[in-house]
Amino acid sequence: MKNSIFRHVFSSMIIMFSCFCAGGTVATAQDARELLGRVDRLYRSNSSYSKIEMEVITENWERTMQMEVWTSGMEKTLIKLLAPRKDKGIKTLKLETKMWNYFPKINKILKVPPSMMMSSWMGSDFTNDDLVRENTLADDHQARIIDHPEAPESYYEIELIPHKETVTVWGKIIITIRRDDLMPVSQIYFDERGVKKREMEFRGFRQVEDRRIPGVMEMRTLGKNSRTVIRYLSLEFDPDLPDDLFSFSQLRRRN
Amino acid sequence: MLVWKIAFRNLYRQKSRSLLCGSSICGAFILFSISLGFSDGTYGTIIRMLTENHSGHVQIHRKGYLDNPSLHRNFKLEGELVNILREHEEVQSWSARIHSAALMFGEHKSGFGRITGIDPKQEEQVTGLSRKLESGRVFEESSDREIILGSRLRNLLKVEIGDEVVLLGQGADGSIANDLFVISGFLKADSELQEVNRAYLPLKTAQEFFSLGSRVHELALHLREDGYAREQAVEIQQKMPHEELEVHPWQVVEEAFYKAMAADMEGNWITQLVILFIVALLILITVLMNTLERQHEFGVLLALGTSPGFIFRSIVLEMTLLGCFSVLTGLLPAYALNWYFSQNGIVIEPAMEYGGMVFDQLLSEPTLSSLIIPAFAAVLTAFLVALYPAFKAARSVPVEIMNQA
Repeated sequence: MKNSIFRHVFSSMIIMFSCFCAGGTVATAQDARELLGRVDRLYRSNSSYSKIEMEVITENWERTMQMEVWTSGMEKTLIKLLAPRKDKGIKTLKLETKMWNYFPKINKILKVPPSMMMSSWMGSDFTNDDLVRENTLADDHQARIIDHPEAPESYYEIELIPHKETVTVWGKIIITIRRDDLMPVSQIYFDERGVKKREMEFRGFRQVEDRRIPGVMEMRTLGKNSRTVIRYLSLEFDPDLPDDLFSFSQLRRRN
Repeated sequence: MLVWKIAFRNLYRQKSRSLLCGSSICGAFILFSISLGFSDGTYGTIIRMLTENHSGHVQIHRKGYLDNPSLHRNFKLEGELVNILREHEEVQSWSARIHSAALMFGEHKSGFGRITGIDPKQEEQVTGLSRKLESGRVFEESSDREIILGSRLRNLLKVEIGDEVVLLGQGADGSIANDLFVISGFLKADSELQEVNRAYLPLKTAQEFFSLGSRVHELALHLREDGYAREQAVEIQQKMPHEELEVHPWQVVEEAFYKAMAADMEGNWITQLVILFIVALLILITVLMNTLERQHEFGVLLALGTSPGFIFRSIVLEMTLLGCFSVLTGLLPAYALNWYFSQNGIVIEPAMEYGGMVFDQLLSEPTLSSLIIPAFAAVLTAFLVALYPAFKAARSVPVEIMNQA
């Protein structure tokens, strides 16, 4: 099984789109669910390693972080902050649906409680929940292709409505995909009252190994006047990772 | 002038009667004065506890901070602002603060505390932080990595002086603030209730911890005269270098407390009015006795052709003068008693809590108002209660009242 780095790092939707990115040949897909499922099957990888720059811009402050991210399968992710200096060495470990943060300055591992899952991760527009969610959009939502309101000939627009049993805060997600190469363009999140709450934009498409991916993703939290821009500085699929990389002992290691 | 002579003569003529009546008015005046003195003293103590232990007399914040305190509603402590405060004569001292909250971890326990970053030297001048310490000491430099904990946090975390506590919070730049601090002291358990869940950090350390650079949330000012906070706030506001800075007196900063206290004071005035009513009754009875026993005298005067108006005026004037003399006599004892009780308060067991502050002593305050208001009330009451007996005496039929007498 292959696995895109995006899924492990930020959210299942990012994952899906990175898969899309590499899947330019799926142009004839008509059914949304089939399209999502196919992508899900095609673009999983065993492991990945990446270096990412994350810029968070709010009305009160701006911050740029650099981090290394290791993933293994769907369940394991390790993130280590490299910069700024103040935060260097802070790590986040995700094992299945659980999450821990390690703070080297106080040498403490703290579990992220369920009540904090919807809180911001490192002050970004991504939540802790975005990191740990393992579900796929295809499995947890009723998907259907709808007409793109402005350029239906150029874009697919997929509407995702969560199943009744799906635990989510979103009432609807709208995904826009370019028809010609199936590159994701945007992903918009609505709350249960149909109010647009978050918007993700994909850009900076580039080739990495045999895949085409969006090199830049920008998440905007609407009404909060904040945005988070993620740039991939390097990305490697299926590297050999030590067996104990995703363990507490590694989490506590100060290197 | 004749009416004045008659009034004075009547007072002097029956010394024992005047003395008895005057003593009643004087006693009532002193009682009312002490009552007001304790009222002023109690509220004054509460206000002083609030302003001198915590809020200061005036505070400066970024616009909107008071309504919605946020880590991001801060301002830079620039030289221009500091110079303005230095040059403003009424400002005696000031203390820059930052406020936030953090999770706190002891060796085995954890809890949630309010964090206040202070410069130890500045804060000592404004609120006398060292007075609030139960044990340990105040950190010396604003860059020390030490912390002072409130009594509730101490009990919650089960820590002692010299122990390390971990703080985990939100930085102003979105980062996760985390660091270790050594406990240098504990606050008294009976200090303000809002202090028990508070932890003090040195200002520079707190600014670094919360990623605030050189920015602060609050400047608490201590004025030379504590009764003019509102006026001074307006004056200082006009000098502010930026429109985004707001200057508020403690009455606005602690609005909820002030409103509760104002409501309480209004309620207290009802109590004072009841006391005043009792005083008025006392004076009325004395004046009535005074005039009733002189019925025969009034009858003779009327029979000799004295006009009823003259009798009315002489009685009212006599009582008003008696009221004035009684008040003048009572001024010194009233002031002395208020002063005594301002120095030797009445101990309350157990201590009371009011608006988040704990106090264990009822103190009086020898204010001008605690003398003027009862003085005015006593004289006015003597005047008013004299109207009825004076009217009655003036309208009397000489033969009837002389027969009755």
